[in-house]
Amino acid sequence: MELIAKLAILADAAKYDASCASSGAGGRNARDSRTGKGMGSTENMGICHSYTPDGRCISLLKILLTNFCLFECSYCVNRSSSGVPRARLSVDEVVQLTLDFYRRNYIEGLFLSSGIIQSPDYTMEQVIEVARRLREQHDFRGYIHLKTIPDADPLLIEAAGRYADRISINVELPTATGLKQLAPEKDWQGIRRTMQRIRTHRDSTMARLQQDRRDGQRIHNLRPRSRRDQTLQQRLALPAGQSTQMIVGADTADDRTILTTAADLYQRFDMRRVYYSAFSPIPDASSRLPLQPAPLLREHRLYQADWLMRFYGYDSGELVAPASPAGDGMLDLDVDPKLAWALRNPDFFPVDINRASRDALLRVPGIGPRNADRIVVMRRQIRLRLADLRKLRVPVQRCEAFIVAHGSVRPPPVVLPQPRVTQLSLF
Amino acid sequence: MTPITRFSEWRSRARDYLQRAVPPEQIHDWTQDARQGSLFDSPAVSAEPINRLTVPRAFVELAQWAALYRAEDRWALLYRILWRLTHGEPELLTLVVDDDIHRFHARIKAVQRDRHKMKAFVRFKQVPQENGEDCYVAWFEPQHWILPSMGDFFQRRFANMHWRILTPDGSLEWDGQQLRHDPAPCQRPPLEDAMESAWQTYYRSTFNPARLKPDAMVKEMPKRYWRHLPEAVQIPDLMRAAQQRVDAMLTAEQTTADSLRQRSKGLALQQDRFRQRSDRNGD
Repeated sequence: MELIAKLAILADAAKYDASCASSGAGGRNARDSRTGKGMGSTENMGICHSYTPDGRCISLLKILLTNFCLFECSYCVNRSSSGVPRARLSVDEVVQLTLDFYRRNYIEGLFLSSGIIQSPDYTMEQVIEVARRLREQHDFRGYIHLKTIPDADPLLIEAAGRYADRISINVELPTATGLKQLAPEKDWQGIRRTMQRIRTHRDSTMARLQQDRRDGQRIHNLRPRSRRDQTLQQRLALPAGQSTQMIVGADTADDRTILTTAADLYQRFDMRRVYYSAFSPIPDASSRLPLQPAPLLREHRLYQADWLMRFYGYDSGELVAPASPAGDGMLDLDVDPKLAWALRNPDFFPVDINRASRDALLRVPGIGPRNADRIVVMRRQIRLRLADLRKLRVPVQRCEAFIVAHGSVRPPPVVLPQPRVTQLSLF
Repeated sequence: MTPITRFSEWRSRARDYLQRAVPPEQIHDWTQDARQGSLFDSPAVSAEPINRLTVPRAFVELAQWAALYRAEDRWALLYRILWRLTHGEPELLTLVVDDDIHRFHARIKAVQRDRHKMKAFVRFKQVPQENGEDCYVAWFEPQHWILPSMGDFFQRRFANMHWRILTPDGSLEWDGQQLRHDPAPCQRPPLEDAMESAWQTYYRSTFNPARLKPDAMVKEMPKRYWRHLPEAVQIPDLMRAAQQRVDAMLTAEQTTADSLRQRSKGLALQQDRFRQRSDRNGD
C-alpha cells in the first residue's frame, strides 16, 4: 500500500483522541545540539499549526502505528469487528513522515498511539522505538507524546519517559461498569496502575534532578558541551506530564460522576489535562452504542466545569446541583456552569468589585483570572466603575446583576435566562 | 531627514526630547529628524533630568513590542506614554482602562498574536540547490513589522537547515552559520513541494465531519492566512461534504461484535484472555 493511503487510514483512525497539546515541554532547541545535526525546539507555549473545519487545532502529527486491534471497544472506530480499512506503518515510515512534516513547519511534533497487536508490551515497544530513533538517530528536539497501554511493564514506562514529553493512557469511561460493558478487554485497575507508575516515574526523576542541582550541577554553571545532557535529563522527567481522555455519552454516567472521576484523576495522578470527548458517529458503528450521539454542548459544558475546578477554585461537588427531584446530576445545557452556580447561590452576591477578594471576584460570571488580577491592581489607583470594566472587555451586561461598582446604583434584579425551546444538539 | 525605523533610534531621540521638556503635542512628525528643527533650539532642562527619566523597567520591554505595530502613530503613542510616566503618573502602565494604555496593550497583543501566527503558519517548501543541498523557502505576509524579531525562533528550531523567509517587508535567511536580515521587499516566489500532498491528505483525514465548527476554525485561522497554507484549499470541499458523510455513518447498518468472534475463534480466545485478566483484577 502506498504511504499516502496508509497515512489517510491511520490519521483517520487516530483523530478521535482529542488531545493535541504541545505545551509544557519547557524550552529546548536545536542550537545546543552537540553535533549540530539536531532539529527542532519546544517553546513553553505550544503552537497550533493549522485548524480543520471541526474547529480543532493541528499541533502534532497524530497517528496510529497500526489500526489493527485485538480489542473490541464498542465506541472505537478501530475495534476488532469494525469494517474500516486497516494499515500498518513501519517504524521508519513514521520517523520519516515526522521529520518531513516538521522541516516544513507543519507540526510541533508527534503524537503516536497504536491498536493492540500481538500483545500490549510488543505494541508498546514498537511505539517507543519510533521515539527512540527520532531522538537518538536524528537528534529530534520537537514534542513527542506517546500513548501507553494498560499495565505496561514499568521498564517500558521508563523507556518511554526517556524519549517522550508526555505519556498518556485513556481512562475511556467514567465508571468501572461502563468500561466493562463497552471495553471488555480493558482493565479499570490496570489503567490506574499505569497512571500511578507514570506519576511515580515522574516524581522520582524530578526528585533526582533536584538533588543533582543541589549537589552543585546548576544549569547555568554547565559548560555548553554538557548542556545537551542537561536537556536529556530534564526530558527524563516527562516535562509535560500525563493526560487522559474520557468518552462522554456512550454510557449512562451523569456529569456529576464524570466530574468526580476527573477530580480524582487530577488529584491522585497529578494529571495535567483530562480531555472529554463527546461520543460521535463513526463509520461502521457498533450495535451496542446509543443511536443518538451526545450533544457537543454537553462536552463543552464539561470543559467549562473542568476549567472552573482547575483555575477558579470550584469544587467538583459545587458545579452540578445535587441529584434531587429537580436535579438529574447533569450540567445545565442552557447556561454555563459558572452562571448556573451564581444563580443557585444568590446570597453570595452582589460582589463589590472595589473591595472583594480575588477569590470572590472569580465567582462573578464574566470575570476571569486575568481580569480579577487587573482589577485588584487597578483599584489601588482608582475606584472602578462599570465603564472601566467594559474597557477590560468584561461582559458587563452579563455580570451587572452580580456586582456593585463605583457610582452604580443597586444591581438590577437577576433575570433568569429563558431556557431555549430546543436544546442544541449535533444535528 | 531620517525616518525612525528602529526602537533604539526612537529611544535616543525620545531621551533628547524629554531632557528638553518637549511635550508630546509639540512633536508633529516622528518621521522627520527634529534635531534639525526648532524643538531642539530650546535649552535642555537640566534641573532634574535623571529623576525624570526613570520609567518602570517593564515599559522599555513592552514598548519594543508596541513599536512593531503597523501604524503611523506608533512612535507618538510611545512618547505620550513616556511623557505621562515621567510627569506624575508613574503607575500609569497598570491602569489598563486609560485610553493610551488600553491602545498600548492592544497593540502589544496584536503584535504578539501576529508573531505567534507567523510561527504557526509559515510553510517551508523544499528547494534543491545547485550544490546538491536543499534550501527551505517560505513566503509570508506579516501584519505588523515583526520580521526581524522572528529570526531567533526559526533559528532555534531549524538550526540544521538552510532556510529563507521572504516577506513584503524584507527577508530572513539562515545558512547554518549566520542569520541575515535584508530589508529589501520580496515578491511571492512560485514554488512547489512534493510533500504537500501528504500534508493535505493528513489534514483531510484528521478532520472529523461529525463536529463541523467552521467559526471556531476561522477565529484561530483567519482567512487572510489561508493563501499561505497548502492545506487550506481543501476547506470548502470538506465542509460541503461533511453532512453527507455523517448521514452515511448514521444510516449504515451496525456491525455486531459477536458475529466476528464466531467467525474467528483465535480472536475470541485472545479477547477472552484479556477479559479474564481484567475480571481477576477486580473493579
